[in-house]
Amino acid sequence: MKQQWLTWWRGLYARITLRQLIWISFTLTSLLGVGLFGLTFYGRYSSQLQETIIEENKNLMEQVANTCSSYVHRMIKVSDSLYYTSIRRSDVDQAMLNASFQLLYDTNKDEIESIALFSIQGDLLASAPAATLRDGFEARQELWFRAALAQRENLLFSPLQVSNAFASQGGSYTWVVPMSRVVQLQTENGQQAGILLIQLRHSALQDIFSNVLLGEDAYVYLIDRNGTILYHPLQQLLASGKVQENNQEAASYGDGNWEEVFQGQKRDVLVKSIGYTGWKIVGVIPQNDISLTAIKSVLFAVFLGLFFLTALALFYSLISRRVTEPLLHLEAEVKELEEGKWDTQVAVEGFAEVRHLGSALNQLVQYIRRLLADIVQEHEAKRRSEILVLQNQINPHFLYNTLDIIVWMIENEKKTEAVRVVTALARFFRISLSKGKNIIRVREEVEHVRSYLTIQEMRYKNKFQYRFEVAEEALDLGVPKLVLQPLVENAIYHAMEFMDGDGEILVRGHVEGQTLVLAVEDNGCGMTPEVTQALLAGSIQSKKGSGVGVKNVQERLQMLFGKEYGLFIQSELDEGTVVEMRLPALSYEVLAKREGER
Amino acid sequence: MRKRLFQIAWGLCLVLLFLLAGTDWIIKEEKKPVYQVSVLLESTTTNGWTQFQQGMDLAARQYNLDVSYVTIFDAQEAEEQMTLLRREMDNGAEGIVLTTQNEWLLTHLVGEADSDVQVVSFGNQVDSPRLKATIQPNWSTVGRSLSASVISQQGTQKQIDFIYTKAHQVSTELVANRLEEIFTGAGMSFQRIRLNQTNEAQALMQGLAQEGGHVVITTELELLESCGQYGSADVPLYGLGWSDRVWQLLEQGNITGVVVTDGFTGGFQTGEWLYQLLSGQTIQEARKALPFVMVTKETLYQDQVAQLLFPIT
Amino acid sequence: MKKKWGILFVLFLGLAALWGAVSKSQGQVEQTNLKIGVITYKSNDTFVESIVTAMEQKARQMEQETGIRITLDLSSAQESQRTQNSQVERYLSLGYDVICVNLVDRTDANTVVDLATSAQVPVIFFNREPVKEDLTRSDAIYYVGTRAEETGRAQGELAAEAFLDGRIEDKNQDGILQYVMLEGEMGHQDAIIRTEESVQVLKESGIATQLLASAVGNWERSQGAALMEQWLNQQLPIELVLSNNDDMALGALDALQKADVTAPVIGIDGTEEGKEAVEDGGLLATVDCNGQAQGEAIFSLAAALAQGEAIPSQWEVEEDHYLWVSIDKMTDE
Repeated sequence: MKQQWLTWWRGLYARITLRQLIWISFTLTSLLGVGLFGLTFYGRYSSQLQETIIEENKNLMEQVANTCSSYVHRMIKVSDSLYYTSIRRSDVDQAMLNASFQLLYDTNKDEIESIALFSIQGDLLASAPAATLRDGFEARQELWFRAALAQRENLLFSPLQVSNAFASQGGSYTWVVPMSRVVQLQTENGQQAGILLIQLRHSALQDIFSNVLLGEDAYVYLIDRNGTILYHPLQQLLASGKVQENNQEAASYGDGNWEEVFQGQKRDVLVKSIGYTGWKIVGVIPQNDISLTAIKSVLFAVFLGLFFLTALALFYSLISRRVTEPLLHLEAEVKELEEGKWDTQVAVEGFAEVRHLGSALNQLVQYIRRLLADIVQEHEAKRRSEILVLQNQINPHFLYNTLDIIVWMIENEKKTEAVRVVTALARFFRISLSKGKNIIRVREEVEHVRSYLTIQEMRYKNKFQYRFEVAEEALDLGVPKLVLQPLVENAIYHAMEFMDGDGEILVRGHVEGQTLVLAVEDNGCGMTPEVTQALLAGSIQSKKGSGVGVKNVQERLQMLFGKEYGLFIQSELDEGTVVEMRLPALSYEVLAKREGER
Repeated sequence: MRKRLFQIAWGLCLVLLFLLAGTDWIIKEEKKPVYQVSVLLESTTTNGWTQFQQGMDLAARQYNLDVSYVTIFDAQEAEEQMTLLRREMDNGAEGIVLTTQNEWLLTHLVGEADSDVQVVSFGNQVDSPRLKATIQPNWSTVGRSLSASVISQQGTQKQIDFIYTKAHQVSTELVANRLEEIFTGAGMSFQRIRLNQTNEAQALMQGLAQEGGHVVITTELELLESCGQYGSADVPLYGLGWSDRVWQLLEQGNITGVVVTDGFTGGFQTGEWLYQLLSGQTIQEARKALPFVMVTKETLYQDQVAQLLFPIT
Repeated sequence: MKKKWGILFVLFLGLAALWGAVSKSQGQVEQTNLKIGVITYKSNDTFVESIVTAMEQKARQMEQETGIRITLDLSSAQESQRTQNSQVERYLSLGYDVICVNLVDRTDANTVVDLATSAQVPVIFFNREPVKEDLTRSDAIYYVGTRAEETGRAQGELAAEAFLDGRIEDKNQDGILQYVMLEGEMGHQDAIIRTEESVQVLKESGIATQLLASAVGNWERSQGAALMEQWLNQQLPIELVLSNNDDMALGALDALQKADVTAPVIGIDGTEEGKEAVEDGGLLATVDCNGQAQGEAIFSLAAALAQGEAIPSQWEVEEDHYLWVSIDKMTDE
């Protein structure tokens, strides 16, 4: 199973082009990178968001607490200033009291419902706004009155109640928080105690607390130290029992964050106390608040992800195409080369490595082209010389001349010479042909030359002498055929012309290390270096010759063995010429095999 | 070819996702719906309905209700409510609160309501599947409370006069019956007096005051207010209902005691019910008892009483 | 090709026209349902009550006559400008056509003006006048009320007449009119002007006056009574009680009756009880500010604005924003 999978994978991998590979790897790594980044960021961010929200809520609570606290303090200051600057004066009278009460009332009308001073018997001594007591109202029975008396040194805040002390204005009622304290009054009867009552409007508390935004579904309420609710957004419903609140338990919480479960719902509760009064501000945040999930957000995130993925993919596709294009071009051109179109010019384009490849390929192609040209040339040359050799194998002129001599001899009854010449001729042509082979033994080449010389001797009677000095070891080495004879021919026609019987031609051969040396020496008139050059270049045409020529020999030798071998001519004018042939000393078998003749 | 198709499909997919997530065309941002609701009051003014309105207003703020209070033009033509109901529904009212005390009328009104309009009632009830919920005080208990107050404060030697102008009012009948039961059971004489118009109250009260030994009870607010003008220690007046005038009269001593129902809770509850019905939720308790208190001058500002009489808004 | 485009174009035009027609007819449906919101500054001001009651009656009348359903929603700001602002917001969010506002704080009108202007809903201020700058901030802002100087002067004239023909007794025979003044509200424009103008008229009539005491009664009967009680306790030689409004005047009357003292009292407003008191002889006189007429004026203006019609010709709007209601003097003669 695993094997199958592996093979499939390898097969797939082998089929991927470079472009796909780049695209896939870029896209995958981007995806991975972005994905990891996104997840870590989201994780950190969402936890940071949690913390930020909690911080913000705490700050909000602080702010609200500060506002409430400063409100309470302001009210306390009103009470204080009324007491210490008005009531405490020794010469106080009702008009003055009313005036100062009125002043403080008017400046704090939004927060204060009324200010009233009661005697210890419960009589109204002064009030702002001007009012008379409600019929049947007994101050001494009121909670705030008794509470103040119970704690003479303090300012008391009593639970919420409807303002009931004064004759009603017919139809309007105000809920107030009574703030009361015991004061010392100067009356005709000496110092007496009284109660200063300031009724704080509930609407002031509503103003402070009703617009606190702790989040959706979150709200704030205010309780006194006993847990009794002073403000709650659903206060009336609480009173009628329609809804419930966990205020009694909240009264036991200290300042800070708490978690509670109420009516099956988990909530975060922030508590902040107000100094002096013992009131607590309770912020309730239901716990489903802090979450980032909304279908739309999730969808948007998905959309964003896919969108960027698409954009990236397109972008990478573009990049990978740009990158691989030159390579593809290169590949296409290589395809052409493969098909043998050696004329293809490889375009040098793209990035550094590809350019390098391109130019190198170009050079290579050029080199190959040259080599090919060389090969073609060589083949051509080879063919030509082979053709020449082929031609030379049967040379008509030499044949006609020799036959003429034979006829003459026969006509002149020189039978023995005639037999010799015919035999030599036969041998000459047999070796010339050598059954089509191009490589023969040195022995045979020597025979060939001997035959030739035998014939030539007849023709040029006693014009020259010849002898052979060929080493034994050289005889079985391999040599291209028809290489000595042209040299001897050359020597005869050019050197022996003017010798008159003193001419000598020596044909020698020996082995020098790895080199086979065959030479034709004569003591003829020699030649100038220019002639030597011309001879090797083939620019001297011998009309009488057999046609192969020295050039041909040189060419063939060099073609077979390289430029360090071949013909080397040493000549001195009037002294003689040595034409040396150097070639590797290879046995006949080796050379023949090498030239594919075995 | 396939590649092209794939590309087009992918592009469309992206566009669709974008429309879904980034714009408001397909997934609409949930706008909180506003439900139009009408309250049919069986009086020519909203006098006496202040607490109910306060409760209903709280519900309106919480639940996004657009509330209209509809009063009748002519107190004698209570059947006018049928036309008014029709008019409200034609104007797009989705929920109706019926407050009529007339059982026959209530049945007809409930029947007249369109099938897609939610109907709840306050202070009265009939058995009808169209009437989805009701909240009303236990009239019998109201009667008992009243009678207990009267007996404890006035003693058992008084003549009890129950005054009313409108017949077929549920509250009137049930309370009167109970009162009769209890008073006659205690050996007191009980009689019902029907007046044709509220301005006859003056004459009646003055007459009864002169006679002495009477205690007047009425369950109609207007009547209570009118009688209250002339109530005194000579002819103690008890009643049902609450308004600024009643408060004043109570403070002045013209009215001795009054039963007040928790209008705030009534208003809030009916509002909440209509919201629940219109938003497709189910109602837990379709029959609720409306709390009430017995109020006298002395108990007026006590916590329990004050909370009911003077709702914190 | 051209033909195709031509057809499409025609179709498009047709659709556009249809859509326009549909939306227009929707607009017309609105006309059969008027929603008017009224927010008073507090709930137990007798004069304001009378204005609002008159509005309700007029609304009822109009409903019966035209069959248009009129919703007149009343709320009280409980003397908190903030509450009033949020109530305005609420009416606007419920799509009310016109809002009538009895400002709590006349120096703080701009929130209401801003809210109404941005919602393009007309607002009519009444009885408590905002400053001109706020009224003229946009077109659809109006004020309906009485001219404070007129009322003040009228009260002064009533007092002057009464003093000159002896209905107001110069108790100490010093030729000087000793009076006490019950003022409406601290810093309230109408209160200040009424206070000043009435005394000014007395002066202009050649009567020497002496202010014995003055205090702010917050327009309330019970406070008027309490203040009057205080002054009576101080044994002030009061020859005349002038009050910025009828409620306080009636309160003063209550205190006088309680102390079994008589003194002439003149109020301003012309509330039901005020007028009754004048007829009974309790109040010497009052200035009838025609609360009934004010209510009708406000309602007519509101109805006209809501329906986009012209204002009924019996009401004249001055300076594009002010609808002044005329006053009457009322004595028991």
